[in-house]
Amino acid sequence: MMRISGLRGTWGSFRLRGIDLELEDGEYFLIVGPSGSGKTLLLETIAGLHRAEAGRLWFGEEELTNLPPERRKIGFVYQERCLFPHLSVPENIGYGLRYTGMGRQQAEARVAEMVALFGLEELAKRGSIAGLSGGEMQKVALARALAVEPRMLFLDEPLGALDYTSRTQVADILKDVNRRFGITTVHVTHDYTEAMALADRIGVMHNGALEQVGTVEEVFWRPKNRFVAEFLGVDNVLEARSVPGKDGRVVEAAGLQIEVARAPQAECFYLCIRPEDVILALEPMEGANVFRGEITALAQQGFQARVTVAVGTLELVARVPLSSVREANLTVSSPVYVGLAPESLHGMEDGEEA
Amino acid sequence: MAGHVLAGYLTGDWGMMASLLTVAIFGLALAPRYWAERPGKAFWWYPAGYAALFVFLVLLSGEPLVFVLFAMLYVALYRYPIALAYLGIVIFATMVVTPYWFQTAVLCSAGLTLLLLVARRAKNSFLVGSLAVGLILLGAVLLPLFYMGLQSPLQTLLVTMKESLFSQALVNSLATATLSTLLVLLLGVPLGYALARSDFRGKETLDALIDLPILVPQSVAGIALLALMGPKAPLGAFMEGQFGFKIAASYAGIIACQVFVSSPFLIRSAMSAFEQMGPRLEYVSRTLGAPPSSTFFRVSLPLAANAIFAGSILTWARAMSEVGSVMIVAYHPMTVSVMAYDRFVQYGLLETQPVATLLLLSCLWVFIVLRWMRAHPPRFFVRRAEAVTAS
Repeated sequence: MMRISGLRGTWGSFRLRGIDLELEDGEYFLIVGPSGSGKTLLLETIAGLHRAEAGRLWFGEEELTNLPPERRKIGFVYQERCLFPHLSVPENIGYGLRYTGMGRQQAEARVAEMVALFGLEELAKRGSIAGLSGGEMQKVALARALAVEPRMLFLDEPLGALDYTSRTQVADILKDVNRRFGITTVHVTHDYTEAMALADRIGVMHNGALEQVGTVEEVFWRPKNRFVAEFLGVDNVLEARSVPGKDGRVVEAAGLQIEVARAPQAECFYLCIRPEDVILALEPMEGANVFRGEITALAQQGFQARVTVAVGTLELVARVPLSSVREANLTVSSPVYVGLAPESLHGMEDGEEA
Repeated sequence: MAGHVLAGYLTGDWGMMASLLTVAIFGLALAPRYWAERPGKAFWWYPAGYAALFVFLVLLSGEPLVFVLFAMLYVALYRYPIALAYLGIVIFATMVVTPYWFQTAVLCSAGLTLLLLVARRAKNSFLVGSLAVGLILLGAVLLPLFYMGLQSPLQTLLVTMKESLFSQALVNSLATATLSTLLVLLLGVPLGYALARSDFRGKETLDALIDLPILVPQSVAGIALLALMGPKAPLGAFMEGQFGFKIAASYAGIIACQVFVSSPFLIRSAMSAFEQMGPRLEYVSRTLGAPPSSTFFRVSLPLAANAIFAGSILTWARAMSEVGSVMIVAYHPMTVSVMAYDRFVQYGLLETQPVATLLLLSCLWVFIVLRWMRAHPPRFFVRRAEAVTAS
């Protein structure tokens, strides 16, 4: 288990503001945050590449705080992969082996093993890494990092700058590496959709601090504050208050009475509704929280549509498959029914911008 | 026509008049063809050019025979504007800068060829215009060198080369410049690396100090070195007394001067190569278990090798050409550059030219070989260079 406590420091315009984090053995941890939030810096600092002003690090019982990067045994793969351009594929993969005390033959065997594992046989015959595709470079960089048997694997935007096919392919490889080697993996990205496919737990980073850490379920459906909610795509954050005398099970927002599954503690709070959880229908449906509204905007986003529906003075954003929009022939000013399942609503106490 | 007759009449030479008439008839005979190809306004450029040639060569320069020659070519080549341009260069060179006509014509033609090559590749008249303006500067540098290079007959050059004084000086120059470069390489690359990778208060000042030798006049550099290490200076006396090391009138002095003036080139190129590389490749190397020194020798240095080599060429060239400070610190043993100056002071311009020419040629030769080596590195470097350009 990796334990980080009170890690802080300032480097130019970037900073870390007291990071506390525990990473379980073998878990796939994803750090998500906007550009400039210090994600890469955090990884580099844990790997020992920057000197922190304060904070301590342990791996199990061993304290890493004052070890140089070469003795921390943390594998690092950058978005640009950073293959050594003057070395061939096998030379890249075997780069770190001479520091492991391995013999020449052993090292060669290890390189061959990694080449076979990542299916790099053809590329390994070439004299240089020139002309490798993004996905191929990613595999070589992973093989290079794993060859020296690190304790942990740090990935900086591993799916960035890849085309769609390579993205899914590399994502599968990453998950597979995490499982097969049982290696604790920390993956940094600005794209929260990567979390769904890969992560066991995620942390949301903002301005050099971890705003929230938890399982995917927790963080996506129960964001701690407004920043986390908005960054993770919760388009509907409504100011709400409990309706007295209903056990806190009914709340009022923008003049609507909404039933919720979990009663929030505070009297005033914010109601988070993920746009994927807003149900649209042409006919009134069964169940609680069904309102009549009118579509005010429609935008196509990939194979989904972002539909804005006005219910009284309230504007709700829904995300539905494009095919449903076409099938139901929805257009701006079409009347629709909006359904909100009580279980999908989350009352958030901290509504301020972090 | 009337003008031709008049010109012929003025020279009072019937043969000349006949030649001029022939050209005029030739020109007139081709006129209908040119009219058929491009009728209207565009056609009138043809007689206009002819008239301009006539005014310039016959009326202004008074060279009717030259006119006959060039007018013939003009009439025949009118439909080939590129050929006309080269013709224009030859006319300009022979008539305006007559004593240097050959050098001028060669340089201008080379420039024109370059412009045409660029123009064919890029249909961008601003770019071609910029190049044309820039070529003037390049021409101003090349013309004197080119002119001098062609002044001394091969015979004289060979005789000068065999002179023992000259060959000794050449050996001195080559040896000291090479040693200086090695010394700068040994000390400058670590400096460049350290500056590229560290960040501290006052780094900018240190950075600016690197360029100081370019700013300091050569004579000042020499005087400063002598003041510190000269025979009468305490440090100089100590070094000579204890270690027998002196810079005045010694090889060490020459090298000290050359190192002083040439170090910025190598330090700069090494530094910018390390800066451009960025730290991430080194970070990766560190996380793979490599300590900093190993990272430097296995990653940073090989990747910067090309730029460092380029910097070494410049440093070597600068060391080779240094004269001002060397003259003050160590007039003897003589380097070729000092020798050229020495000859000039003692015997004058004509006697110096062969030495200067030979120095120029030997520098050029080494420079070209080194540049060629950079473009076509030895097998050992080949893969590196390829990989670096590919990344």
